[in-house]
Amino acid sequence: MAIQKLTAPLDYVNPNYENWGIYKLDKNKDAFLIEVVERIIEKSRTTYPTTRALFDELASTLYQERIRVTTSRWKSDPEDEKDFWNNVKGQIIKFQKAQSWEDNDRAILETLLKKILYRYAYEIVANFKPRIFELAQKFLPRILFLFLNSKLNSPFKFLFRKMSSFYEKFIITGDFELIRNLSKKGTIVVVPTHFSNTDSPLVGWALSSIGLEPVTYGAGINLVGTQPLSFMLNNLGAYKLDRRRKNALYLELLKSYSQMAIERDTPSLFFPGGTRSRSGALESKLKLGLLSTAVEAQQENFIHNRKKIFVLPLVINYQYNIECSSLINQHLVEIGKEKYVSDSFEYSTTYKIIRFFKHLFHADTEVVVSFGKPLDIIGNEVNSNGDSIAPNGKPFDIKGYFEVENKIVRDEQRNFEYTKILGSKIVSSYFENNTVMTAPLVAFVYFIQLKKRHKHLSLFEIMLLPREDRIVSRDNMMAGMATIIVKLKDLEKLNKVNLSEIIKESTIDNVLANGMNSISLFNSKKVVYADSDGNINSQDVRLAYFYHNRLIGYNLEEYL
Amino acid sequence: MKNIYNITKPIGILGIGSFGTVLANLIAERHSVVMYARKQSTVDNINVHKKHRDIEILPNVTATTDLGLVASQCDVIFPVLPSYAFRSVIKDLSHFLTSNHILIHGAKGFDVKVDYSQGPVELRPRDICTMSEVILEETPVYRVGCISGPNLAKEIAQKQPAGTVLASKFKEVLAIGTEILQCERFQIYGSNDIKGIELAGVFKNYIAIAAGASAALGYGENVKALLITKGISEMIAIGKALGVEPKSFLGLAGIGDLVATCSSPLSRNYSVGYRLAKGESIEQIISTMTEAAEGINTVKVIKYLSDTMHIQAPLVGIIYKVMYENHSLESGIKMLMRLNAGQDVSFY
Repeated sequence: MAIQKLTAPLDYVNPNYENWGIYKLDKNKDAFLIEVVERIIEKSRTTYPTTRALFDELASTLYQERIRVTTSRWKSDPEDEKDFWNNVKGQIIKFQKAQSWEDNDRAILETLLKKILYRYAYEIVANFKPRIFELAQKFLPRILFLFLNSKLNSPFKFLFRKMSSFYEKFIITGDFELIRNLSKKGTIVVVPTHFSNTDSPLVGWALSSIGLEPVTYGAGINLVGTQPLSFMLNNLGAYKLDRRRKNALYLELLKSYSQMAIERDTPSLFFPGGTRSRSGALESKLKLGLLSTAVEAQQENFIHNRKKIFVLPLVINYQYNIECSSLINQHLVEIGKEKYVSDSFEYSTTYKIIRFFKHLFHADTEVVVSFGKPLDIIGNEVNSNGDSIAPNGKPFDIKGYFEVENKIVRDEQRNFEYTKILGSKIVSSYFENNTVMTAPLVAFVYFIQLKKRHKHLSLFEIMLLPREDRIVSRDNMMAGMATIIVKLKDLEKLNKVNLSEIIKESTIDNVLANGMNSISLFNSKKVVYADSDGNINSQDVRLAYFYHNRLIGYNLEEYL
Repeated sequence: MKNIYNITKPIGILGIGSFGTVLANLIAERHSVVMYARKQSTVDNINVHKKHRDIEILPNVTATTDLGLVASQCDVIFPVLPSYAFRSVIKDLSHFLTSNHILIHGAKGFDVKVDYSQGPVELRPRDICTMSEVILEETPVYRVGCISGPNLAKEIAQKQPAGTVLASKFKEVLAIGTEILQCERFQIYGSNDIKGIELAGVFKNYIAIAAGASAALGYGENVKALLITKGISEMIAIGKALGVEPKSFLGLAGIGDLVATCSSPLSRNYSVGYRLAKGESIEQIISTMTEAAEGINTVKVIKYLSDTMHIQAPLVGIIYKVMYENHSLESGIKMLMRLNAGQDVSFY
């Protein structure tokens, strides 16, 4: 496989937007939603076989929704929310009073179910306006960069500068030909790591840079409803997720929506980690719910002789993370409970994104977006014909995984086991395509040595150490860096990890200096720094821990 | 639950040991069966004389030396092989396997990636594979299951009733396996803890060796009960180190199999212990056995594993000393009685 580094944007594989899955989905929105709702109604006849069971589910949905409406209102909520659920309540009470559980009454409940599902469906559904997309593609990065970059003194020059210059700071790597080929043969499902709110726009930009059509993806309804970026998000194919809602009907609708969008050949994106990685570590446990919709979609596509689905893992590496402080706080609160006292503060998303890009262009640093090898739905690698490759290296047909005696049998439990297998292959891909940068490397060597120096202290006690006890001598630090760099280079030779250019080529002194410089860029405190004696110290051990987590999982700590 | 699967293709059996043979007959009551054997003479015996290991073979069992033929005719295949041959046969078979296949094995041993034949070595969980893990490593098959339980081949051959545990992460495999195996005299219990069920089947073998030895020494039911219950505790402790929950050891494949093998001279592992106590050396016993007693190797593997992982496993330590370090059985029993007994039930 030929891994390349992108130097200039590639043409769209499919230049006519009218052929894009997301455009067609938007155009046939109503028909699509009818199909989604009808499938759930059909499914509900097996999930809730009796009138009583269906009634109970509806009543439970109503109960949860009424709690949500009264206790947690968001600005993005529609105004008639209360009226709608009051109306549902009225119908539920009316039905209950009649006290009839005969099967012929099921129709009344199904009408109610339909009403709720359609409300959810129209709330969730993605919009896609090609003009806004075009505008966003052409001008958004430039305008954003222009406004954010105070170093530029000629805005006009910059505005018309070739996009290629951006690719020095945004490094995109992968086997683009293979990926582009597969996007013609099947439906692409992108599964990136998730560390920052800047991930979504960045992935969108990376995908269009390599010529893939835009993807549909789930965005928190709070983002879509309240942020200044909402107008863009709302029209660029994001479907809207309401994290407050945990009721079975809503989750079922979300899953069916996602599944059927994939079945209709709409390229999709999930963050399989669920939310941003709070600890800063690469995701090793994935949320499989949405991912399973891709496996279910593949089963349906086999039944109806439709396209194959290809899963595209993607690792995003930043030198530093602007949200690190609030992320690690949330992580430590979760694992430390009473042992940890939080001092969380988080900026609004839009503010963070602007600040991120501003600093990005001020500092000498980079972002690496690495596309992993495309996988089939069970996690096998795929060749350029779209054939799955068996463990013995031969192409083979995966349709049989869904069959018993050459006949496809629908089986959610089996497919969920396949999803787990896919999940573990995605995790391996994350580790293999992770690009180690100087900041996490410096934090890793520093924190592990600090931890070894204070063997008997807990994580939370280490964070409270006084300054003089946080010192790691320069000699130890340099020796540790040298050891770990050698081990990382060995791993790189085995294709188990990637290294940034500076780690590969520069001296240990330079790597250390570069790492210490970039890790502290956005913080008032120095995360890892050299004190006046040249020894290494930290003003914020929490953040050193956060960055160090990025290298957990390679078993490097045993060498320090 | 109504079984929706109706398997019409023949069922494959790899392995012509006594359990493989009775399993073939059991399945052949409702399905046609294709058995794989390495030797042409065995194949002829089965196909022409309809007899193998003194067991009458049902008419719809055929045998072949061609693994490819088994794979092309059968979607569901039962590898019932000794653990030492398991990986190599599965490797050969893998060339013919596709995504359509389902493999349900009946082997009760480990595949160890480190050579431990020359004496004590460090063994870690990552060095040890169960048979289902071998299948997952070597083949494109994901739908894997195993059967394990008190299934003494001779009793099944005599058409006595028996039960077994069928374990798989896939409900589909459980349903299909049950459809194939279940009959009036063979009851199938399901489990989704395949590794737990596999380990239960492996671990019980060394306890059976101890039980055989104690019977040969003339000890009665008290010692046997002590061995079984303390054996279960030890199995659970080792299982935990390998990432398995205790519950599977408490079912048919754990206690159930232990009770059967610790009481019956029909068990190969039991007879190893019995003959050992009667003064034969381990080499003599191995050289005269027609089929592998898995427990002989299991003792070594578990001893090395528990030493490396610092797991409290006194029983296996004592059996190891008797089998490989020339300790007398009497001194072994003394060691057992001198142990710091501690709490009775401590594995929860």
